[in-house]
Amino acid sequence: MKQLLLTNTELSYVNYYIKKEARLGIATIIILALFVSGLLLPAALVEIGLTLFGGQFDFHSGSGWESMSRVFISVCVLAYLLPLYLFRFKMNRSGNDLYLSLPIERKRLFYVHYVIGLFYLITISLLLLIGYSVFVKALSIYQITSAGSFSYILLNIYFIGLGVCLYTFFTYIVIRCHNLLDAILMELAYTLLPLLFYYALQALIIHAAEASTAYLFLGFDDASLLNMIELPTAVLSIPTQMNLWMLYYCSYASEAVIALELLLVAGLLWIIFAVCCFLGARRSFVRIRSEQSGQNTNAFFTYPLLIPLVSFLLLIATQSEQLFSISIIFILVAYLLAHFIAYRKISFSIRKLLLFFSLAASSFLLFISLTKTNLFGALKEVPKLENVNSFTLEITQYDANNESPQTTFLSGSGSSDEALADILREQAKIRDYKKQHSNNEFYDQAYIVRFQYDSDTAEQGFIERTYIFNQEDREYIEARITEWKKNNIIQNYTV
Amino acid sequence: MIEFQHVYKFLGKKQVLQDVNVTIPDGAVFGLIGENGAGKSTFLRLLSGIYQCDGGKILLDQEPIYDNQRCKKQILFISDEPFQFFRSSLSDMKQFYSQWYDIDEERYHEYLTMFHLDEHKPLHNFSKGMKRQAFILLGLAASPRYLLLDEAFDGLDPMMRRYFKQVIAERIADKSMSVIISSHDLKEVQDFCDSFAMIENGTVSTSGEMNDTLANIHHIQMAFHEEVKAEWFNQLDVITMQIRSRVVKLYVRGDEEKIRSYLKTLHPLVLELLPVQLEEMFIQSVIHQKEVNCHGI
Repeated sequence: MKQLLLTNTELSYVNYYIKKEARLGIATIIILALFVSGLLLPAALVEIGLTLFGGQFDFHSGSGWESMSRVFISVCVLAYLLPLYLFRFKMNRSGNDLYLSLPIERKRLFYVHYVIGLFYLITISLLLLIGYSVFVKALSIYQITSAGSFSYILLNIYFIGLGVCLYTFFTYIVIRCHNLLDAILMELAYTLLPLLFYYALQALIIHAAEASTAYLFLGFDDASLLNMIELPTAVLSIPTQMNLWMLYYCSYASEAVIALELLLVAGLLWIIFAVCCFLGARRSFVRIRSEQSGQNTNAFFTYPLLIPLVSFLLLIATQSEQLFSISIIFILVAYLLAHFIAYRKISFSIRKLLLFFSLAASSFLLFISLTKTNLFGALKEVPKLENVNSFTLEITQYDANNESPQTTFLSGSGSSDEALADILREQAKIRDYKKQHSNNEFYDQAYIVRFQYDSDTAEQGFIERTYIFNQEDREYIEARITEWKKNNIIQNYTV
Repeated sequence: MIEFQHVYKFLGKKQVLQDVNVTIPDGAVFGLIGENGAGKSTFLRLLSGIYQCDGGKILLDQEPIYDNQRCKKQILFISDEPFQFFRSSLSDMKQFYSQWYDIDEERYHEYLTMFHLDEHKPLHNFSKGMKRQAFILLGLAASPRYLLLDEAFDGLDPMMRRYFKQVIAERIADKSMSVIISSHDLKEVQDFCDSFAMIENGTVSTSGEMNDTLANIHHIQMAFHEEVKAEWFNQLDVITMQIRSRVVKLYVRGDEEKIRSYLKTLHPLVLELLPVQLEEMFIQSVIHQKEVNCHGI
């Protein structure tokens, strides 16, 4: 514990450094204050940016939230920039000569610079938050009630804490890099990686689901794999956590409790992650081989990991019949370009090409396995009888020219075991036909058939399967409908 | 006292120093000489704890220097391209150094006057020589036990060199400060340093007290009736040898009388002893080494 406290010399250095950079600190505060007040960047751009990073905001329902999110964006920007600024000395030879020859142990030098960053991060964040609160209160933009005060304070502590975790992570990344360009690129890559991870897996699951099933939409009810990748995204994505806070802050009690629970889990995971990053950063700093400064970065968690990982994610994101054959060429070019950036030279080695093609083959195998196993059993196109309580069947008919959107509406419903068994059997027949005969495309539809089941097991409370029948399938589906009418599967009939 | 004991250092895959054994005495000026890329800067970076050696030990008073705060407090390294903060002045750099070293303010101001430097002028507006002066001045004002200067007098005019030498000599005399310099200017090293080490191909080929070492090295020129053969001198400790038909120039280490008596047995037409110049010896040594590398002699 005593070792973690700074000595008088070190404290004096921290004090000196902060005074030395006072002007830069003030300039940063002014720029960020202008940003928070909305004078630097229009709201629409911030909203687009946050949405892109996984946030789904409705700023109109939570007035003042947009400004609040700007404070948190500022915290993230500081977390991004501070390690670059504070540890930039290790990126060049003369900086190393100065700092690493100082009479201070490397471990202590790391602590001192880390603490300076923490000081800037926390102080500037607090100043922005206090400024924002006064601004909001003065203009009565957003009423902070006494009941809301606690959650308001909690929210601020949470996001400053998250900023500290993010700062620690970026510190680790910067310390692993040997030059400034690599450090900037690596920070950027790790910022975008969760986003790419999420979108790539989502695309893979959707493409695989489309290829392995005959129905039109992958609904939320059966997308347990999608939910599985949404949870880590909620943890990793800071905009998603802002969403959760908005839910906690503005929603009804039940939703607020769920949001808070998720936030606490996410917060705990971030703390564990940050502690690991801190220990890793300290270890890496102590072991710096200063002769590598300014050289190409080759640490495992940088280019050697990211280039294959990002390539693999791009490959799985484009796994569909239409996309894959073309995209593989573009991804290969990007893969080689990334190697050029990493090693600052053009190099085509057999090993690199073999790695790329093995990644492509792996991504294809993964896609095939997902398709053949109905997403490892997660996707049940025809639900099990024990999982459904009742059903509704809707049939929409289109005319021969496909111009009139809806001419006939037929529906059926039932809840008895016998009726449910019948409808499940019918859905299975339709699925088999669809798989053999046609695809789901809108331009030529004759009928749209929608099976909806009430279910206790489904996340949304219901399971929905929709099939399109084109003009060429008209004869088949009309025969089925006639049989359904005959067998009383369709009980109501509306024109 | 600083000791290098069997020190090895690789930069990437290249072996820069191998089996270096040197003792640097206190209260003296120690000169490091060698070709470009010989490993002089690496030597100084190892000594100041910037680099960690891949083998062997570097000790200050029997304590390892690397990542040792107590040892490093006694060493100040001024590299050939010193780091300066953005738009910083000499005064700003002094502030920085004073966080870690005990800067003698009185001396600092005395040197400022002596070297006509404006402490508030941004360093990026200084010429190369002035920048060099500024950092050496800081090093001297910090009064470390060991001051390490890489390419010490590079870019300084002769007047400033003289001033600095004078100041360094004073500081060594009054405070037992040791200065370790690397330089290409061998004449200067010979005049200024008390002891030296010559680094060749990553190893220390010659080292020791300047006067003793040079007294033990002899520059000999001889002429013969017939073509000179290299093997005639196999019995001597030859540092360098330059054969031009019937004439040979040698740098030989050893007792002068013994060498002279041996050489007389070869019946030379002319045998003369010339003054030993470090620079000449270094150049001949480099040429000799290159010939060995090329022809595998």
